[in-house]
Amino acid sequence: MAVQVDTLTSAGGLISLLDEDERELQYYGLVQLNSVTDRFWTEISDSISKIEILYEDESFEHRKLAALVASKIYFHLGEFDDALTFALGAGELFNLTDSSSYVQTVVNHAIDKYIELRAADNMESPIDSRLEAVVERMFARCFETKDYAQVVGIAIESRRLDILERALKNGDTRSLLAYVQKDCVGLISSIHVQAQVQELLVKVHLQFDSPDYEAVCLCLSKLNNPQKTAEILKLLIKDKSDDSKTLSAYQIAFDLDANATQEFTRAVIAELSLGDGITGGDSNVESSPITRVKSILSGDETLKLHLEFLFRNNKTDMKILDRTCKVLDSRLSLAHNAVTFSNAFMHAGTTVDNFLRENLEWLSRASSWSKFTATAALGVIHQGQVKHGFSLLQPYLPEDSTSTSPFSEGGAFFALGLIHACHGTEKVIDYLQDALISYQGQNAEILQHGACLGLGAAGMGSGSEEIAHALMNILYTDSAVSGEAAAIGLGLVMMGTKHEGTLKDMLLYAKETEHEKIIRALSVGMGLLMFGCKQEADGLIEKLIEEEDPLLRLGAVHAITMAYCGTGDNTAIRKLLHLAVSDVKDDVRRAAVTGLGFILLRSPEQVPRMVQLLSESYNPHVRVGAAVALGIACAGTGSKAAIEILEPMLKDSVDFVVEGASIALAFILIQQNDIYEPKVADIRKRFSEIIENKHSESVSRFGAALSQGIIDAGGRNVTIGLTTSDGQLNAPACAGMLLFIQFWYWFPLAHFLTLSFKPTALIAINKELQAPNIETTCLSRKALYGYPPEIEQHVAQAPAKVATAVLSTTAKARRTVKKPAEEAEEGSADAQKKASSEDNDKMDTDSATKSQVDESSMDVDEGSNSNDPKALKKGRKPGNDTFTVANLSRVLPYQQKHMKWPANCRYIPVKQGRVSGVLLVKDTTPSEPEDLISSMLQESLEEEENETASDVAETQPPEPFEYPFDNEHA
Amino acid sequence: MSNNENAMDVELTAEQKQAESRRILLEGKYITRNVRFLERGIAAAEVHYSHRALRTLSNLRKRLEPETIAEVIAAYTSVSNVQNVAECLRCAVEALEMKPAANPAAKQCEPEICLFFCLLTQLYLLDNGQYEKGAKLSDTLVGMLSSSPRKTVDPLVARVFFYFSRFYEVADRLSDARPALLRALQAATLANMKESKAMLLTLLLRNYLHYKLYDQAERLTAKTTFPTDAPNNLLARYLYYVGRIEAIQLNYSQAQMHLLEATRKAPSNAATAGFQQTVHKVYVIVELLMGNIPERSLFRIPTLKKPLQPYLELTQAVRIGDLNRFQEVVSQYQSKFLQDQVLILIQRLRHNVIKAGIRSISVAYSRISLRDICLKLHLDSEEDAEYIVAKAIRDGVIDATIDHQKGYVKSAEIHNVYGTSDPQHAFDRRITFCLNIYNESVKSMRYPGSDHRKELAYADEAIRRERELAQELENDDYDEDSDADDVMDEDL
Repeated sequence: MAVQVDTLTSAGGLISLLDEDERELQYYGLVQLNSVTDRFWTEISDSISKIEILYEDESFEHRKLAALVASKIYFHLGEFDDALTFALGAGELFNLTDSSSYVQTVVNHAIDKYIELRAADNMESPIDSRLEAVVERMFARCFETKDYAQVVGIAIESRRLDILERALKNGDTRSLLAYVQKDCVGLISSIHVQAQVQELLVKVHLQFDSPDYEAVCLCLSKLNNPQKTAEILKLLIKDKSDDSKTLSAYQIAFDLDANATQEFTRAVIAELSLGDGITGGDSNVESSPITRVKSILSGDETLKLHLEFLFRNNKTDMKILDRTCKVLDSRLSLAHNAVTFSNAFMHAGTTVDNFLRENLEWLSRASSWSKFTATAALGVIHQGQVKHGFSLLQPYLPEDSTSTSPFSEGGAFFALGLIHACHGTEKVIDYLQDALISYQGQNAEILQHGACLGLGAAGMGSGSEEIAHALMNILYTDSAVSGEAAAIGLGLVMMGTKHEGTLKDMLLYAKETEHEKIIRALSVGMGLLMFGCKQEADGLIEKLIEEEDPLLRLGAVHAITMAYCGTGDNTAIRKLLHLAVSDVKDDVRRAAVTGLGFILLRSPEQVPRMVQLLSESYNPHVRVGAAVALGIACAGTGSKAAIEILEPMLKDSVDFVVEGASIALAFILIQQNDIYEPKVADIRKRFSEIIENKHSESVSRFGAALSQGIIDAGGRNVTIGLTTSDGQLNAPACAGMLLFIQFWYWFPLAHFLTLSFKPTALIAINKELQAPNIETTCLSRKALYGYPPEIEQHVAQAPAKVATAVLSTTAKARRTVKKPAEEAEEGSADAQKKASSEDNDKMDTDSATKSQVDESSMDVDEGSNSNDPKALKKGRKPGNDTFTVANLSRVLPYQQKHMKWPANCRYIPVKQGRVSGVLLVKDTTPSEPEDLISSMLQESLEEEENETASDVAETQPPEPFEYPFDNEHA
Repeated sequence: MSNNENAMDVELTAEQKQAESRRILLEGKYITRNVRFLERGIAAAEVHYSHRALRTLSNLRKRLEPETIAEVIAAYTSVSNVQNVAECLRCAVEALEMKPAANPAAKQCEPEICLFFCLLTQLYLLDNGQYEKGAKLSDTLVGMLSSSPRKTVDPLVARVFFYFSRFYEVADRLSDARPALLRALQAATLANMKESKAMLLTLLLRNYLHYKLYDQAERLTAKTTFPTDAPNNLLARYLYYVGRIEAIQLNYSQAQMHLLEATRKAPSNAATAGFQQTVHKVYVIVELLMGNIPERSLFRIPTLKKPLQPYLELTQAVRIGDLNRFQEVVSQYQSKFLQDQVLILIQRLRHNVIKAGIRSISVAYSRISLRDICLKLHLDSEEDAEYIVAKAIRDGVIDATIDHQKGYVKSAEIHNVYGTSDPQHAFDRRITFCLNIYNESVKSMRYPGSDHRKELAYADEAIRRERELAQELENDDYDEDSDADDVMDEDL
C-alpha cells in the first residue's frame, strides 16, 4: 500500500474513500491522507469540509485523526488559528515532541494565543483547558531541560506568576533573579503586572538565608513600600554582630537616594524616625547608624561626597571661557546668556565661581532677563551645597520681603531651588512658598517666576499636594510670565504621579487660557506628570493628539516622550515617527523627533539608523530634532555613527540646526579625549571657530558656546546620566533634559540641564562615611581616559584682529611698531593672568586652612599650563596597560568595565560588581589606624561657618563680590 | 635536438603552469570579491549585498575551474564550522574530485558563503555534464538548507533550488524532486523567504506541467500567493506557467493577460530571447482562441520572426477563416506544435476558424443564405451551418438573426463602438496598468548609500563661497561709501 502512495500523482482516490459508508474505509482513507498531506495538501484542501464533518461526527471512532489531518491542511494553508483549534481537537495524536515545522509552528502559535488570552484581562471567559494543557506541557519540558530563561520569559508574558516562582526557586536562583530584575521587569508593559512581579521577587529573595537586601530594597522602592524598606534597614542596623550589615544598610541607603524618588526616601526617613520613638535608644547621637542612614537617605551625604569630588578634581579650562567671553558681544542678551550658560555648565556643582568674580564688568552688562539667568547660574555652580544655600545667595535674595531688583531676586529664587534640586528641605520649600504670595505689584510676576521654578526644582517628585496647590493658585492668576513657570513647577513637583485631579485641572486650564506660554508650559508639565507611566498615559495621549491646538499636540508628544522614556516601546516610536512626518506644525514635528532620543535612550545604537533620513529632511525643524535626539540617546557614548551624521550638520545653512548639532555633539563627546575618540579635538576646534567667526549667525554662536560648556561640564568630571549606575531610569535627569531642550522657547530653562549631570566618580567610604586612601586598578591604557589638554593661548590671532581695526593713516606707523606692541600685549596678558592667579591663591589661602592641599588641584587653581597628563594624576605604576586610580577620582563610563578592585586591598567593597559611584568598603584590619583623605571642601566650609558665628561682617567668605547691578527696571 | 625540444616542452609547461596558477589566482580574487559582498551583507543584515554577489555569477560561470573553487573553499574550511556547513563544503570538494584541504588559517564559514561556493560547484558540474554528481551534491545541500532562516540566505537558496531542480530535469526524474520542493516551499513560507518562495512555486509549476498535471498545478496556484516583491524574472516565469495553466483550463482572457504581462516583465535582450519566443507562441494561440488576430508586427520582430513562422501561417489561416488551409498548416507543423506542447490548444482552434469565417461573412453581407455559408466555409451540410451560426450568435461573435423559413442570415446594423463604454473600459485598463508600473517602480527604488553626501559637501562649499562673496561685496560697499565721503570732503 505504502509503495503505491509514493507514486501517486493525485490524492483524489484517497479523498473519495471518505465518501464511503464503511467506517473502516473512511479510517483507511484518513490514515493514508495523513501521510501524504505534505504533497497533496493543495488537493485535499478542496475537500476539507468532508474531513471536518468526520471530526464533528461524535460517533466516529477516529475523529481525532480527522482533526489532525484537518489541522495539517490548515497549517499548510497558513490558517494557524484553525490549525491550532484542530490540533487541540486531535488530543494525544498531536505529538508535542515532534520536531517538524508543523508541530513547532502550531505550538508557537498556541503559546502566542495563550499569552494574548491571558493579557486580555477578561478572566470571565475561561481559557480552553486543552490550550492550557499544551502550554503546561511546554513548561514541563523546559523544566526538564533546565531551560529556565525560556520559562521565565513565557511565564512573565503570560502572567503565570506561579510558574515564574517555581522557575525562580528551582533554577540557578541568584543569577536568574538578577536576570529577571535587570532585564525582564523593564520590558513588562503593564505597570500592574510589573508590580506583581516585583512583589514576587521580594518574596523569593526573602526566602533565602542571606537575602540580597539591596535587590529587595530596589524592588520595594519600585513598589513604593517605604514601611518594609525601613524595616529591612532597621534589621540590618540592629545586627551589631557584623559591621558589614551596617555597611550594606548604608550602601542601600545610598542606592535608594540615587534611584528612588524624593517622595519615597522621605517616607522611609519618616518610617525610620517612627521606629526610633518606640525603641528609644541612641537616635540623637550624631554617629549612630540610624541617624547616618537618615542623613544618607536625605541625600546630604551623597551631595557632600559629590561636591568634594567635583571641587577636588575640577579641571575647567578657564581659557576657553575667557576667549568666548571676549569674542561674544556681551551687549547682546543672547551672547550674554551664552557665556552665562557656558560658565554655569563648566562649573556645575564645583562651587568654583572665579569666572564671575573676574569678569564683574561683563556681568554688569546683563539686563532684565539676562540678569535673571546670570543669577540663577549661581544655583547651577553651587548645586548641592544644601547647607550653605541661603548664605551663598544672601546678597541676591530680597530683604524683608521688599523687592528692589526683581530680575536678580527672581533668579536667586530659582538658584535656591537648583541648589536644593531634588533635596528640598522644609526651610527652603517654605521660604519659596512664602515668596509666591508675599509680593505684589508689577514686578511680582518675575519674582513668582523664579520662585515657581525654584519650587519645582526643590520639590521635584515629592508629590506634595500643598506645593501643588500653591502653584495652582499662581497658575490661575493667568499671568503669562508666572503662569508659565507655575505650570512647569507643577509638572516637576507632581512628576510621575499622574495625579488625576492635577491633570484634569491642567488640561482644563490649558484649553481655557489664551496665553501661549502657559499652554506650552502646561503641555510640558503634563508630560512630566506622566513620567514612566507607559500605557497608563495612553488615555491622555489619545486625547491630546487629536487636539486642534498645536500646543496641545505638543503636549501629546511630551506625554509620549516622558511616559515611554527609556522603554524603547514600538507603538510609542511609531506614534512619534508618524507625528514627525505628518504634523503640520514645525514645533510638534521637532519635539516628536527629539522624543525618539528619550524613548531609545537605553539602546543608543538604534538611533543613528532611525534618524538618518530625518537628519537629511528638507525641514530644518526635523533636522534639528534628529540632531538633538541623537545627542540625548547617545549622550556620553561617543557613538561613531552618530558623530558621522552630526558632523556635516555643523555646516548646515540654517542657524538653529547648527545650534542643535553642536549641542548634540557636545552631549555625545562629553568627557572624551582625543586619544579615545580622535574627532574630539576637531569638534572642539569647530566650536571655537563658530564662536569666533563674526559672520556666523548669532544663534549658531550661542549653540556653540553652550556646547563648549556642556562638553567640559562640571569641571570635566560629569557626564550626562539619564540612567543611574544601577541601570535604572534617572527621573530628575530625564526631566532636566526635557526642560533643557525647552530653552528653544525660554532661555533660563537651560539651567535645568544641571539635573542631568552625573559625577563620574569612584568614591569609596568606610563606615564612618569617610574616604580612605585606596588605589584601584584599571586594566587598560591610561592615555585613553586622561583629561583633554588645555588649549594654547592664541597669540597669533591678536594682531590679525587688530589689523582690521587699524586706521589707514596710522597703518604704516603701526606696522613698524607692531612687534613691540605685540610683546607688550602678551606681557599685559601675562600680567593679567598673574593677577588672577594671585587672586586664586589668596582665595585658596582664605578658604583652605589646612596647609596640605592636594597638589593636583592646586595645579589647576593656579592655572599652570602643564599639558603633561602625567601631572594630572598621581600614584600610578609605570606600564602601558594598567594603571591605578585613586579614591575620589574620575572613572569614565567606558572605563568602568576595565576597573578592578585590587585583590590584596585592605578594604573590601560591600556591593560587588561595580567600581564606580559611591561604594561602602569594609575595613579588614579595623585595629590599624586608617589613612583617610582629608576633605578639602568640607573643612573649608566648616571653617567658614565658625567664622560666621564669630564675625558677622564676614558672612559670605566664598562670595566676596556682589553683582554690580545698579537700580534696574523691570 | 630531442633533448632541446624536451627542455622547451618543460619550459613551456612551466610557463603554462605559471600562467595557469596566475589565472586561478585571478579567478579566486573575483570569487573572494563576491564573498566579501556576502560578508558585508551578513554584517549589515541587508539582502541587496547578496544580490550583488550573485550579479556577476553568469560572468564567473564561463571561467570556473575546479582548482579555483577548491582553493577558495579551502580558505574557509575551518574546524570551527558548523557541522552541516562543513558537510556541504566537503561534498562540494568531493564532487569536484579535489582533495579536501585543511587550512590552519581558515576563516569560519557562514552559511551564505558556503552556499555560494556550492552554487559555483553546481554550475561547474552542470556546465561539464556531470549530472549525477550534481544531483548528489544538490541533495546534500537541500538537506542542510532548512537550518538557517536568515534574510541574506534567501537569494542563494533560491538559486540552489533552481539548479537542484535542473539536475533532476536533465536526469529526467523531475517527479523525484517534487517532495523536496514542496517541503522547501513550506519552510520558505514559514520563514517568510520571499525569493525562495517565488522560485519554489515556479519550479513546482514547471514540475507539474512537465507531467501535464494541470489540475495539481492549478490548485497550487489557487492555494498559494506569489510573493509581491519577488524579482521580475521569477515573476515573468510564474506568469507564463499560470498563463499556460489557464489556457488549458479554458480561462482564455486571464491567460492572455498573464502571458502578456509575462512578456512585458521579462527583460528583452539576447539572453531572454528563448523565453520571449516560448511565451509568444502560447500567447499567439491564446489570442487566436479568444477570437483576436495578433498584430502582424509581432511576427516581424527579429528574434521572433523565425520561430513564429508556423504560428504566422496558422494566424493567417484563422484570419481568413479558411478551414482547408488551417488543416494543412496543422498537419505540416504537427511535430513542431507537439514539441511546443500547444497542439492540444491548436486543436481547439478549428471552431475559431469557422467563427472567424462567419464573422467576416456577416460583416461583408447584410443578408446571405445558409447555403452560401456552407459553401464558403466548406461545411458538410446546410444544417451544420445553421447550428454553427446560431452558436456564433449566442456567443456574441456576430450580431445577426437567422430566418429559418427562408434559410438566410440577416446581419444587424453595425453600431459605433465609440458610442458604448467599451473604449472607456479599455482606457481604464491601460491607465491602471501604467499606474501599477509606476507604483512598483517607486516601491523598488532605494535610497542611495552615502554617495549623495559628496554632493552635499559640494553644496555646502557653494553656500559658503556665496556667503563670502556677499560679505565681500558688502565690505566693498562700505569702502566705496567712505571713498565717496572722502571725495566729497575734498570737494568741500
